[in-house]
Amino acid sequence: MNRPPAFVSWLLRKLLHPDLLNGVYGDLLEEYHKNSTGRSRWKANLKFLLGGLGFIRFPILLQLSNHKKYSSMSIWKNYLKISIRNITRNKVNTTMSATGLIVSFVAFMAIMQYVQFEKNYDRFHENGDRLYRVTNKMTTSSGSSLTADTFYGAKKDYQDEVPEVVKAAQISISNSALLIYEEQMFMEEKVIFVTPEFFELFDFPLVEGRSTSSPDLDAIYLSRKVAEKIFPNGDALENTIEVSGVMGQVWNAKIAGVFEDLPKNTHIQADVIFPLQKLIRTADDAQFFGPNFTVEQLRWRWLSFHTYLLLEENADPKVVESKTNQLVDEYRKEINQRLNQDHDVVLQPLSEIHTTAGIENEISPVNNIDIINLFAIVAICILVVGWINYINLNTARSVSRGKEVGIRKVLGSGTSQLKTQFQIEALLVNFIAFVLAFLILIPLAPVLEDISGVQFFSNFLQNTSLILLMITIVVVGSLLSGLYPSHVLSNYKSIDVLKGRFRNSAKGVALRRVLVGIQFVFTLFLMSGLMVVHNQMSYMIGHNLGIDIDKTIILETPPGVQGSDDFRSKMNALKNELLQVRGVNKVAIGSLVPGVVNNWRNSTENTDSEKAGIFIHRTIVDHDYFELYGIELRAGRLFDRSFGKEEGNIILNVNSIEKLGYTSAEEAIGENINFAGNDFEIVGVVSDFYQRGVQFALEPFSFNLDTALAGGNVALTLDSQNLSRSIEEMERIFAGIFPDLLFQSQIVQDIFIAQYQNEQRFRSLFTIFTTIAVVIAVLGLLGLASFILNQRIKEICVRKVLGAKSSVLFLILNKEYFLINVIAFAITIPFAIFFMQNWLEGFENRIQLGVFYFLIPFLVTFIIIVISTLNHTMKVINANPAMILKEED
Amino acid sequence: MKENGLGELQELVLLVIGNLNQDAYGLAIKEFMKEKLNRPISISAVHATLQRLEKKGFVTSEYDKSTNNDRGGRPKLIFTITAHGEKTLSEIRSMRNALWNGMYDLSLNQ
Repeated sequence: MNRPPAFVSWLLRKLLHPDLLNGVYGDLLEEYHKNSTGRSRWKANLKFLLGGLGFIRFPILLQLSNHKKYSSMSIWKNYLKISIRNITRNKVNTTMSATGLIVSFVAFMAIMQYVQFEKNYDRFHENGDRLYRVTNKMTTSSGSSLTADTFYGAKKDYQDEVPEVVKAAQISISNSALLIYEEQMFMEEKVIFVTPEFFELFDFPLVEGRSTSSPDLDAIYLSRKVAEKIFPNGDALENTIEVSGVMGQVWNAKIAGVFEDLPKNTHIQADVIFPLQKLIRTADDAQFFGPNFTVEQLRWRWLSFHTYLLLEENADPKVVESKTNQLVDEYRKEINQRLNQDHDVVLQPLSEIHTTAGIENEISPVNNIDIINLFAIVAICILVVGWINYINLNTARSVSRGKEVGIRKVLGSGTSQLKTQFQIEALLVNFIAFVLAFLILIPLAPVLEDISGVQFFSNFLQNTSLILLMITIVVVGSLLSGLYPSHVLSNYKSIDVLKGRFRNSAKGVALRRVLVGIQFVFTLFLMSGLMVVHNQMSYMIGHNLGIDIDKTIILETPPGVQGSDDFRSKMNALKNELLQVRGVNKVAIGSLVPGVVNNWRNSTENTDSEKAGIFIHRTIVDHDYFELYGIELRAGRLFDRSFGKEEGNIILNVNSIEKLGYTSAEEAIGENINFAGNDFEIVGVVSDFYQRGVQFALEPFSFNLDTALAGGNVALTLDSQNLSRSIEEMERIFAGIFPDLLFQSQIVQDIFIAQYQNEQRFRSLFTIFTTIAVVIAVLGLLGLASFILNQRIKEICVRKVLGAKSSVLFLILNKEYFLINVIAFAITIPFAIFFMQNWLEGFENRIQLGVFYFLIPFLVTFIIIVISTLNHTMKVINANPAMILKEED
Repeated sequence: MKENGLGELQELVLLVIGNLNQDAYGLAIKEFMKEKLNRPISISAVHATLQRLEKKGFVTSEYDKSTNNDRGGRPKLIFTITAHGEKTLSEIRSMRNALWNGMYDLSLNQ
């Protein structure tokens, strides 16, 4: 007889009630037999298979719905029922183990949401995977540096001459703009110039209007937010508004389009957009590079353009990189030789821009990928600590459930059934914790957004990938965290537990030690991390900046207009009137504000071939600027009223002098440099200062004298007992001179502290999460200690009877944890050093890692151990041996 | 389908059981329906119908003592009509007869 497929027999045995099985299967076999004799076998096999599968169709034949017969589903119902009873009965225990889980889930989800947000920058563009930014690498004798912006010529020449480049777009960042519409003034800070391809390359939709390939030079695009602010009644399109101060110019612009506010998760930030051609035309008209040069002639010299390339599908960026590199070398051959420089192209995928640190002139602040990963690690640490906590608490609880297990075993429960029971309980608790964590996170989101400064929670409920990840993690994690307690519980010998005896295998003890060890490692790691972050922050805030910003206030004035005598006289009037305010000591005008990034840089060109051409920050100041900020003179002289307008004179800081190749400050005095297309005589050298904060290197700065163009900011120091009254007075003066403009003042110290906001957020997030991890770990330790101490109570009593002192007993009981802590300490150190060193390397001025940062967390954990086990330890030590030992074991 | 009602297929299977007389098991019913009634039906459908009939009390089942090699040594599950089943069948029959008798309008002479 031929053998039919065994699968059918197996299937029917699973599906059908035993009473029916023989009859049905016999029928199938008989038919198979008939079919297979003298006919093709595979056909018989197929019929047999289909015949067997056909039974699935009829619920009446299946065990599931057969009411008169027993069903295996009922046992699952029973598991669930018992689990719910257990969870609701031991409310304290459930709350304790669930709290740990909820807290760790909340922390995990919050951090992962943040990590995901940071990692998903600029991933929403349709052609995102084919978009690259041209990052410029400049190498000189003093090293190389990467900048996010590159040459003006890069866009057109790469687009025309590299076949793999489908399209290119360019962006240039502008200073802030004053928009005037029907006498109302609006200051906008996020202003950029773009080429027409901008709206094609990036998925930034226009709400109204459209972008053309050859836009009107006087076109202006506004974000929806700004358009609604200026035109509350709608209909912004085609209106004419006056633009003042952009590149020191005034013109009338026509609104050509309104774009959707740029999303938070893109590195390009803008509220006002002008055509890039306007920038080029203005630069030519205003002779930015002197009378001898036009922008076109300097297309491979002017380095201020963020350039993006759309490559062909399947194009190799490495190939494009080498082709563009050849072009740069070709176009800049002669200049590179003269200036002793080399420029290379680095193509950076759009999605990596936000997570790559170390590139200068970024449009918006970036985040270091190491820091983001560090957060992800912290998230996982917290999750693991939460589960370990659950395991420990449940193991501790197993004592109280020993009798239940014993009875169940006596009544015939198998080990696997007991395990399933405990697994289901774990799953249930995990699931409840997950749901609660989710519910807690919704009202918590705004608070976290406030702390982290990133609005990433708005899409929290739509973040299906994170929710799916969480559900997977909850299921896997609850199975893992249920594994050990269920193993311990189900392996009790029923006779022993019923008699009240508990024993633990050596293996179980080892596992528990490892778990506690892991908790210690995480706790130690987070604590030393916290200390390093904290100290670095204090170090930065307390570091000498090289400028005096105490009691200094900045008033925001309109951006200066070139050659405007009216503006000049207004600024002078403002200055003189402010000096009359009580408490005001000094007033100065300057375009450079401490703590605010200066986007205005130009290059020098030295006829002397030994001196490299360098980029220097350009600033315009008045006579009182240096004195107000306490910038010291090193050589030569400061600007002086007796020298008149001093149009051809320049003052440099020490850093510029060094970069230019002078050996001393004195040597540079009286030298001529060609800077931004003009010749200047160096009349003075001033001391260096940290303009953006001490996390950045010292930078080269230049100062020209012009009281009109210096507009933008008036700084004043005041020594006032009544700050608000002084401010009020200033506001009145300001309104007298600039009646339509909003009075805005800022304390420089605050601007500076805001420079550290990334680090400060990092610190506050780190503090919160470390505290959470430590609290959870303590909870777990507490639970575990009570479990272990209960097991050792007899041993301790015997020791006590034999004369051991309390202090010795205390040491004996805690020895295990101390030892684990020491081992955890040894494991933590290399990781902590690696990550902390990595983090610190992002700062130009940083603290040194010392033993101190690891020893203190180590001691703190010691104290935590003692405190968290103290209660239980004392209970055991103070137990009356007579009471404990009288019980038979 | 009412608890004591009889569907068309169920009625047919019940009648087939009566026809097979003491040898009404799943496969025999299936083959009878295919060969005699020209009504092919799957073995699972046959068994499902039989279970429904048994649940309603129209048939009872019992394993015979046979050990047929073709059946892998498995006994046959033989179905027999209960008294309730017979009564229901004859009720249906007399109801149909009455209906047929009343149908003079339809040209039976055709």
